[in-house]
Amino acid sequence: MPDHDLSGSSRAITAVYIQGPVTLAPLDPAWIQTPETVITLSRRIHETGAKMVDMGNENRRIKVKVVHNGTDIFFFYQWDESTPNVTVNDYSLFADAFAMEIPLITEVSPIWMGAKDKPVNIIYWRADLARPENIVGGGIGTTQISSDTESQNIRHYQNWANGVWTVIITRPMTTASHNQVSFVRSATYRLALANWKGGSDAERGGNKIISDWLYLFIK
Amino acid sequence: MMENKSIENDLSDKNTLTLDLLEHVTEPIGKYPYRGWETAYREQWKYDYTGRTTHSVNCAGSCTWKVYVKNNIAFKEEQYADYPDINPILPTYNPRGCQKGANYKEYVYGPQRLKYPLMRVGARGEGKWKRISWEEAMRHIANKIVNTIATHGPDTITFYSANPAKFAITYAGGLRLANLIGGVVCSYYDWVSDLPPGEPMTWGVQTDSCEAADWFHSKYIIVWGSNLLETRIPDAHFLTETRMRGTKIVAIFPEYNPTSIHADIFIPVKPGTDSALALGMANFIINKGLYDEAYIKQYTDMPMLIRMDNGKFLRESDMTSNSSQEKFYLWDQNTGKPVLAPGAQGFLGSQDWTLNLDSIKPALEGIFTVHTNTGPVKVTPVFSLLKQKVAAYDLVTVSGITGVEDCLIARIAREFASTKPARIIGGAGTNHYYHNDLTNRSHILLAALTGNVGIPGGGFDHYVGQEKIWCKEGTFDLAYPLGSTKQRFQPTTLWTFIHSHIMSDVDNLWPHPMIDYIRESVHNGWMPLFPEGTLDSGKSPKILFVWGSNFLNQAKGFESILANLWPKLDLVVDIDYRMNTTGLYADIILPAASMFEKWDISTTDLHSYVSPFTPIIEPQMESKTDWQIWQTLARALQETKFSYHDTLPDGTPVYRDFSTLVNDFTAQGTLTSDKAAGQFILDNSVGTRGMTMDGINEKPRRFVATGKEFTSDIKDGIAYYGLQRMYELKQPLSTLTGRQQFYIDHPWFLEFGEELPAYKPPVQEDKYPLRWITPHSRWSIHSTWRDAKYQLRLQRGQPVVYLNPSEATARNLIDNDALEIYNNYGKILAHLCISPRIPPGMALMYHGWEYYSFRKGGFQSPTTIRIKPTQLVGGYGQLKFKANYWGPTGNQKDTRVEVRKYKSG
Amino acid sequence: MAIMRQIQMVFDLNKCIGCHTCAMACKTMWTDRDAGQMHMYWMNVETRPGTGYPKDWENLGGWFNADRNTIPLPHIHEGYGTPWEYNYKEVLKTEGGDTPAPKLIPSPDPSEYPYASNWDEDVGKGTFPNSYYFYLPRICNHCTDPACLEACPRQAVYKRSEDGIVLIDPKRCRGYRYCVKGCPYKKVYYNPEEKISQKCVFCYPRIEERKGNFCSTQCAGRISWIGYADDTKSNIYKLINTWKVALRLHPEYKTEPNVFYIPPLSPPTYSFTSKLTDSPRIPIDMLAKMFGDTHDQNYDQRVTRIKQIFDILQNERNKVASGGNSELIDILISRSEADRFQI
Repeated sequence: MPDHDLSGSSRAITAVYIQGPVTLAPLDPAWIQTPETVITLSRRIHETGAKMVDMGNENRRIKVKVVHNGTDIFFFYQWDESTPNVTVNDYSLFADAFAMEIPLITEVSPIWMGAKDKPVNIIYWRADLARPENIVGGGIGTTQISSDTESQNIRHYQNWANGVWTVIITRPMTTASHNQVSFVRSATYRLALANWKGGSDAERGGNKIISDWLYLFIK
Repeated sequence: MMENKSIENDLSDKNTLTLDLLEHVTEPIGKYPYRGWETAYREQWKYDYTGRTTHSVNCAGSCTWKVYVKNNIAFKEEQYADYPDINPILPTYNPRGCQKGANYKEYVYGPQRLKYPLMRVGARGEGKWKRISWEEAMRHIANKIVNTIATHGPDTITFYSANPAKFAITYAGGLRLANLIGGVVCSYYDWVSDLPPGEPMTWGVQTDSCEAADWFHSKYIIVWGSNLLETRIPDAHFLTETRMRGTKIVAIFPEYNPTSIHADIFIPVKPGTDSALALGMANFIINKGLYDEAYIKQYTDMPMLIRMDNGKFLRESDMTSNSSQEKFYLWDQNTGKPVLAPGAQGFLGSQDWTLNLDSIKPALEGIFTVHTNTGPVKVTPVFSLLKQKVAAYDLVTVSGITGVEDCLIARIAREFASTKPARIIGGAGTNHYYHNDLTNRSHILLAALTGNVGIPGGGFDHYVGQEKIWCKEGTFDLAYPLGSTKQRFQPTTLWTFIHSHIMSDVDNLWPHPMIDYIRESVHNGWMPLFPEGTLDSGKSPKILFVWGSNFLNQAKGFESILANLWPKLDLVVDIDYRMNTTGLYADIILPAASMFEKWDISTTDLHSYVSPFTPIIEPQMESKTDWQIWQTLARALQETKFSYHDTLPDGTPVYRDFSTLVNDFTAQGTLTSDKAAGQFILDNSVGTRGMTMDGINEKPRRFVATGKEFTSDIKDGIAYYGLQRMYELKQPLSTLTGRQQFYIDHPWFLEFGEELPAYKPPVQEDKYPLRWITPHSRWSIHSTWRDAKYQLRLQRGQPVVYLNPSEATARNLIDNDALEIYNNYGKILAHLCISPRIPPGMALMYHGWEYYSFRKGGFQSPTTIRIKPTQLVGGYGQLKFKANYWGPTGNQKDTRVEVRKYKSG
Repeated sequence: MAIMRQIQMVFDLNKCIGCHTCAMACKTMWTDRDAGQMHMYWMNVETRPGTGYPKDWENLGGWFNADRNTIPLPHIHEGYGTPWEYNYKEVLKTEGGDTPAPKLIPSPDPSEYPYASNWDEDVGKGTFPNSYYFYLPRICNHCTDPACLEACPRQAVYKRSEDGIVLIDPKRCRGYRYCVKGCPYKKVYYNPEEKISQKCVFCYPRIEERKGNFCSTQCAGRISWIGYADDTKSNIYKLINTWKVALRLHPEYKTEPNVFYIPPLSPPTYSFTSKLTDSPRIPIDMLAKMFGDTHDQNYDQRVTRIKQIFDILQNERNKVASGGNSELIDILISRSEADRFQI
């Protein structure tokens, strides 16, 4: 496991240790004492660009807080969205979505969904889904939802209010699943974020905006 | 019903790296690595077992279907497609079925399905129901029957169903009880106007059309008012296939319909003028000498002599006193003398009952003098009179009446007469008019003049209603245990007309008011009218049983029936597997088994195989098969221990003892089960001798023989067609003259100028501009499937009326507008569909919409019942009342309406 | 060649009666269990001229013949028609009780929006008596170069090597709907309940048992034939390649459809003076804009081909009418079901 010290870097996020239980509520005291990091997402995919709908080149900023209590890890994300897109119940409708990607086996994986021998683990949240999906990717077009019972351990909170999405995702730090990253204290993990702006014929699949690799330090 | 099932996820849930299960897709064309999921659709297609059935909806399809069952749910229907081929030259009957039969399961499991006996607790039609037990329902009905017989007589108890061919056991059940208790059995085939009256008039038959495969033998087909491609879906391919082999298809319809699109010539005829067009063709054929002279001399009444003093046939009794009134003369050109024509009714049983002319050389034209008992009389052959009569239908005149260009009339007349075999296929499009008998007779005239009747591929064939009961003897033996002579039969048109207080609006067409003709007909015993004494003492029916039929919804004169007939009825019982308009206006509803849940037998004129229903699944909820329901009622009646002395209209006394009713019904327990009743039918019918219910379930069997009411033998390797015994065996018909009879010398016919086929314009009595045409539809069989959502989703979801764009523009209407459709008889609300396939002057709505599908009115609300006096005639040769064979038709296409935009509130 | 065999299908529009038995056969087998499939007709029949299903599909574009960024996605209600539900239980009260509503009401109200999958059935065009229309049955064309497959960024759409049937892997599909955009025939559907795309599977579980697909075996008009493209003895081969009477629908979409159509004859028109003419009432122009052999054929070539096919059909009909034999007519009649299903 990697243990680079990148504290202080704009691409560094620290998972703060909180003693005791943390709830899935945005007003949980844990978040008050945890500093936020603002991540800018500006990268778009181009290699199969012909298949993608051009959605412009705007940057998207995501506020990130991460805490853990030694047992579970909690990711708190917030971003601006003037109108929430929460359904996919018609042909043209796509929901707002968000994902976090972490190399699964190797220290580094290609940021675009990893590679066959350098897979990534993704937690994919979409506004219409009952729960976030645990995904494994081994290259573009290969992502799969893991089906092993061990990886069915993600819980979440989501809320849109006053032009802001708040999404909190939690998971046990250690996992028995081969399809998930286990988080170890004092280690640093590469993390990339992706965001899809939903709406009519809107972003989905590879048509999204992503961050560069970030570094997540588990305190 | 079976919604919300997702495809199973069969990805392994083992805790291995998900990606290890997967391979990168490099070549989705041909080399896809993740095909394991394909089992999902294979699973969806898997089934536990299949069963065979058909549908009793009076579509004349009689299609054999395979039903796939999984977990006791019938989830998929497919045509069985195992009819054995008649011969290798003819196209197969497979696959036989339509989109409605493909989704009957919707009714088996859908919200329309009746599940429990129900009793009305509010006003009729108010929709307030109480669930009751079978025992309670049966006790209520039995007591009502017994009290009604005691108080009003058995002929106030009326039974209506349509019709035996579509479900022999189900039909026979009600009739069997009626026969035992003395009730009245209503006709259906005349009432629904499917009976082509020209056939009993001309041929002495109910209807005897060829099976669909024989169309393939035709070289020229005029499809005339029979929208085969839309309303005969399982048979349509025979028409398109014979067209491919070069047969010319001429489509004669007022509107450009789905049959017209596959015709070689489409002829738009003005509605209701078909007989003018036919007679114009007949005139051309006669004038140009294109008729088959030898044929009409031998097989028609054309050479028979008519007295020019009174217009009657010259009879043997005119020439020799005390001799037959049923023997007629030809003028023999060899001897220059009148000679008796062989084959007439008067020769029945003798060696002259044949159509062989031997050495007689009959004249077709000329005026001759004969010496009768009362002195010399001038006579002339029917053909001479016909020639004179049709001379009025010259091409220009006919073109003016019909809107068909004169050269085109001449062209199709010439082609029809010079291409053999040629066939006219008729149907509801022409038969649902008031003067349907004249149109029928004109059509048959064309077929006979050209020598096409009685040969493969030729003739006039009529398809409306599933009237052909191939296993007739057994069905009727089952239906009438005491014999049909001890059964009270009622021509339904007359019954409904009188008891609904319909005011005739066609009196000005006839010398006397309609009621006078009705009185004379009933008084003479030509047509029965129950209860006896109706016309004199105002008696009225008290109990009505309706089963396997949606009598009320489909009735012409709907508004009058509801207003006048219905209140007379103390009890209306509806037996059905689904709730419909009749049920909603009934007092007691009994839930019947569906077509997946019982043994029964279906036959049709469109093919020559017997199709069984079999119990593929159990009757759902508390439903019972019709055969069991009638037995249950017999048991309840038996418990009353009632008995009475009945006297039939002809004076025959019958003692009826209900204390043995169950035994009588089940023939001492031998007919208790539905299957045994079916076997009884097979055993007792000449067409199904040697067959078993299990055997016909195993594979469709073709009938082995035909009874005497058929006009042809059935032969191996040959598609059935009509009047073969006449043509091939020279066997006389059951008409008065024994021949195809175009001349009817009944005094009413002579008085009305209808002794020969003639054109009379459609009734114009309602002064509205749009002809109200309610044809059969692709999307329903009468009212069945009319309310079924899977069918409705492929239409516009609610009742629509079609108008030509010019009619819409003239009224400032746009497509999908809500319209009020009205005339003096009623009002309907429906939505507009504008199409240039509809001619100006027509408002077309497919029939069968349930009353509850309209926010106001029903599709029959603008119609009334119009009786034609020629169809009240009896006591004349072939014109003799027989239920479903001869009687007044209920017709509705002469109706006219106006439409306007509907403004709600 | 990764595709070992390609299944093909021919529809004879001169035999199609618009009965929709094919549509119901398909619906009752594959798309009547799941609420998200109610609007789908993998097999549908449309009246032409008409808007088709989904509405105006020919104007929506596809992967090889439109700007990929501007291909629209239809809406269920406006584009496919919301399948109506009815208040049966309230009206019919089959279990007893009082009806709160005596009239059967579809919902949503069809008066509000004039479209459903078969909304303009039998409407047609022209001026009476020269009105015209015909029926066009449509399934997935299982194209040789499937645009849906090309459009899928996940390669969740694939073509089977043993029969060329094009399938969407429901487990790998993520509901992006690029395939819906990609297919110029709009024969890929989206299931909003399952959140994935679905389409005609050519009844592969039946094909694997050497039985025909249900839309063919249940076809009451007997208008269809199926067989493998490389089977030179098959009737589909003869119709397409020997007699050359079957054309592709919109070959200019460049996907090489494997479903072919024999174009419809039609009864002649009447002149202004009510005289019968020799001109078929369905304009050749309309047919030429729909049907052709290959993507690179021009309009004039297509007109010529349609006229040529009509001549072949009429000549062969006449030949048989005057006592001759015709292999083509025998195929078109197909006296036995075995003549239609050669797999």
